Amino acid sequence: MITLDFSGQKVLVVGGSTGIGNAAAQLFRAGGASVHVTGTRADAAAYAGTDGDLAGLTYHRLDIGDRAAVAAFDPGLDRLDALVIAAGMVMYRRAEFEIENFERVLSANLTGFMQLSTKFLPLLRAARGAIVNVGSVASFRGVVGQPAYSASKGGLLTLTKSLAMAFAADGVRVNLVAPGLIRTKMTEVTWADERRAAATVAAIPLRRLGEPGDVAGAIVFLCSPLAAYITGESILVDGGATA
Amino acid sequence: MSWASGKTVLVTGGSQGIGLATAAAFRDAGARVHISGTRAGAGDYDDDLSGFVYHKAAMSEPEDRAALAAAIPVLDVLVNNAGMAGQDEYTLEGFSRIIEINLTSVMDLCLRFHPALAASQGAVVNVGSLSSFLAIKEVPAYTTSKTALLGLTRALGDKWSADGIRVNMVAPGFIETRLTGGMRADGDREKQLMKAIPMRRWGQPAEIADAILFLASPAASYITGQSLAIDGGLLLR
Repeated sequence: MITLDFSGQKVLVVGGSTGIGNAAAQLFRAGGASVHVTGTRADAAAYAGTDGDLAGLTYHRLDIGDRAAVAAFDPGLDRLDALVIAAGMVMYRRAEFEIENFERVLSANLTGFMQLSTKFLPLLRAARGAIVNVGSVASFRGVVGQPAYSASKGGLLTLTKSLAMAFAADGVRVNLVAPGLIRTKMTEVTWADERRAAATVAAIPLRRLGEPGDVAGAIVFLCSPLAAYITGESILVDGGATA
Repeated sequence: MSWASGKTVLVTGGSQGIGLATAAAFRDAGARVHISGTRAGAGDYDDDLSGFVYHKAAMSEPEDRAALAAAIPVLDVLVNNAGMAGQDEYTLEGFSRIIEINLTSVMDLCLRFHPALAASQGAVVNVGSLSSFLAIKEVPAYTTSKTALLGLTRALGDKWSADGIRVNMVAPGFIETRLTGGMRADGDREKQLMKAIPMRRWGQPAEIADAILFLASPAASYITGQSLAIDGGLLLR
């Protein structure tokens, strides 16, 4: 791997208790950063038996769909070098066609990102830090069964660009990673079925599903000085599926 | 130990600017780095190129490209960086020359190194440009070649996935190199330019090199056929 040194730095990974966010959190920690993560469960112990490894991470409970909770959220940070927003919500079986559900998904995925970015801007400005948010292939394409998810991820793409322009003068970079199908708890319904997974993999040039670590590499890169002149950009991590 | 140590890398046009910064970054990461340039020897450049294996190879010459490929039997990373813009791109001759250097030579080297890259499960990184996405009317051939490089990156990324080779592109914005020295010498022009860049500064060659290393590294193991703009936010506007 690229050896990246984050020692002395503080990182907050919202949605860092499992999946992609957790892989990114552990990669930052391996680089020497002090890493805070959030999740929706009561405490770190509640993640036993999931793909989340919370060892060495400071855990906070937060529901990013809850505007009041995000406003009140105080992880006790005195500095912040990188803010990663990996929390995301998706619903299956046409649930996103119900308007209440549609609003819930948009509120979590899109408004949550906006609220967190503006909330932590002062700390990020002081550290000349970076924001990375986790979009999706659905930032670029429609998804027949997930209108809210794809609308939120499409919105994140332009919101990333707008905030990149708005925060550039503050020295804060804002970028997006856009994963394809990654093997996580959130997407389990799409890959747990062997036949469905095989059909999916057949459409991916690299002929495999992505792993959380595949996306973590891109996230950590975008937060590092290696990406010092990159802002408002998105990186697809999809095994070439949309190439 | 760095992922790059012991790897063999070729950076075309690695004798100056972005190419040199990229060659140096790979060398510092422990790779064995080959570079190509148009002058007779490494000593003909102002910069110290002693840490690299230098090959004289003009990208405009098919036989030079063949000789370059023949000289490097094992390869992990191919960086297609060599490229240029001409003064006469509104003539057919001038246009063709730039297309040959910036585009056809890239396909040629990719084809020639394909077996070596398949053997090493390697990576290709092409150096595109802002003009992969927007027009620079003074240089139609340069613009065309860099836009086409994006398409080539996508096609090869798809095709060679089956061989375990990843193919990606970087798109540098305005970078502080000798090539852009004229723009910095003109105070008014520079001021106008900086107004268009959200970060309000030139990019440094090392900042492009860092992105190229990332795309070549295992950190980008699931990324192929993509382009990455390194432009201080210029393309946002």
